[in-house]
Amino acid sequence: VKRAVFACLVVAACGSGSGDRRTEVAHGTKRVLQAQIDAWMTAVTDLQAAAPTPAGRGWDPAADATAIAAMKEAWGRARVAYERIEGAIAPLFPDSDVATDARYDDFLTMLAPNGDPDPFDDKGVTGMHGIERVLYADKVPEAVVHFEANIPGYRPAAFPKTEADARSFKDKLAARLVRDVRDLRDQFRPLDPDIAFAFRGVIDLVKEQVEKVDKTASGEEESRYAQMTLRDLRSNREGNQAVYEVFRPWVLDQPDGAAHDQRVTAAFNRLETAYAAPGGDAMPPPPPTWSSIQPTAEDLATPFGRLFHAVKDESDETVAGSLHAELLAIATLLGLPEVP
Amino acid sequence: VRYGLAALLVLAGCGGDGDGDEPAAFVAFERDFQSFHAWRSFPVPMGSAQGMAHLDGMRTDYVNRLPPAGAKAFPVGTIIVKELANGDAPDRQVFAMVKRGGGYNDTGARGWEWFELRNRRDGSVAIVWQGVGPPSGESYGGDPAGGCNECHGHAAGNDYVQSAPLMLGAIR
Repeated sequence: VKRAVFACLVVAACGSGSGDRRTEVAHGTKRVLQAQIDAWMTAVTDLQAAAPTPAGRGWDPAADATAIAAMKEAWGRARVAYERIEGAIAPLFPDSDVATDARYDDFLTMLAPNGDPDPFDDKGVTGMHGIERVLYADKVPEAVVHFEANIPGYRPAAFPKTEADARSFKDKLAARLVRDVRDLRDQFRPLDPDIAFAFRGVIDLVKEQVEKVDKTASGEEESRYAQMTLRDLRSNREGNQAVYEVFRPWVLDQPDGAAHDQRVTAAFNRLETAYAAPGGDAMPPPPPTWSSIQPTAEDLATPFGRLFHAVKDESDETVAGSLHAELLAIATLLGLPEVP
Repeated sequence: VRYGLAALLVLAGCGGDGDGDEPAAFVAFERDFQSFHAWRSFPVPMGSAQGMAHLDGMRTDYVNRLPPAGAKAFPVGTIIVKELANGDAPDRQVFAMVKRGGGYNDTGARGWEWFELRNRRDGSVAIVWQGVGPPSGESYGGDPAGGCNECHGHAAGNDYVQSAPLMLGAIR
């Protein structure tokens, strides 16, 4: 679909003026975002549909293995879809961002000191990470337990223990996520974003990534139960590049545009290489002595340190040739509004 | 998650809260603020500081359109910009409230979305942030308490608008 959108934009852009280009890019960006919102909606609907409600009992890891695997697969698709668009969507729908993507510690801050007595209903801890905490309750890493156990209101993660719990998970917690995503989709559909929104989406996704790496070191890792935060970061980059692809024909039409495009593409490739280096979907563990403010040479030589350094450099607009700096150069090239 | 937990209890809803044929919801983009200096304006000379959010000094309130006579609320689509004349245009504090409707900010200033804006040197206007409050890690105009909803909540009787020239029932 992205390729088709891209091709349409290329054709539509021929012979058009700058004003038309701006409108086309804004609309193209919207189509990219809309496609991911639709994929997100499909994924959360599949997740809810797969949730088992066995008679007379809660979830059984053996008896319900197929259903649990199906839910995890759908959850993974939901994460990929959302992480590709989060940088652009969250500022427009901050309420939805919290309800669907807040982390356990974020919710407990609001729910202190009692926490969330019912992790399966549609109140308190909700959203993708609330569901993740249930789906991966039997695999929560020790470091995550250590981090969360110190937060007032903490309760250990658990599968639904009774039929009522399982029913609540499906009809309340999972249903709430479906409802929240549907509401966002319905609110986004009639919008007519402008060029400033489209380009800011690109920049915000770049800036988003270094924060996520940094939070891993403090225990605030995003997809901490599934150990898939590195995949979240890859999805951020993919979403970022997909939006850039909408701008690309316009860039290539500019004097020296091909050189700019080469530099941006190289930066995207460097980031892709950095995210591929650790292997797997989990963040490499930060060294015990890690400090993101003054990392030692030894710590920077670890897989986590190398990843942090690479992402930080690409996110830093003051680093010559970084992804952020090159995107800002593109903005100047195209005469786009400056991002504050 | 990128935005403040103040949004946690904000529920998505449907339907506007105003009169007539106003849209159910209005989401403002940068283009919607570009001409604000040409809107109807209300100079507020030497206003006092409001908490730490709005500094004292000369300020001007701008509104893109006035509510109809007798309205009990500002219609969806209303944009109110407050600019403090504390220096050159790019250095001025500029905030805005936009009547978004659609159940937005339902537990705060109902229907209103908050913005911090910036005058660019080229004369255009940028959105610095938007939402039910400042994003995590930021403060509202330097106010660590960051209370858009809290402070404007004192004006709930005027649909959360604090500005003296924009009192419903007194606007002409």
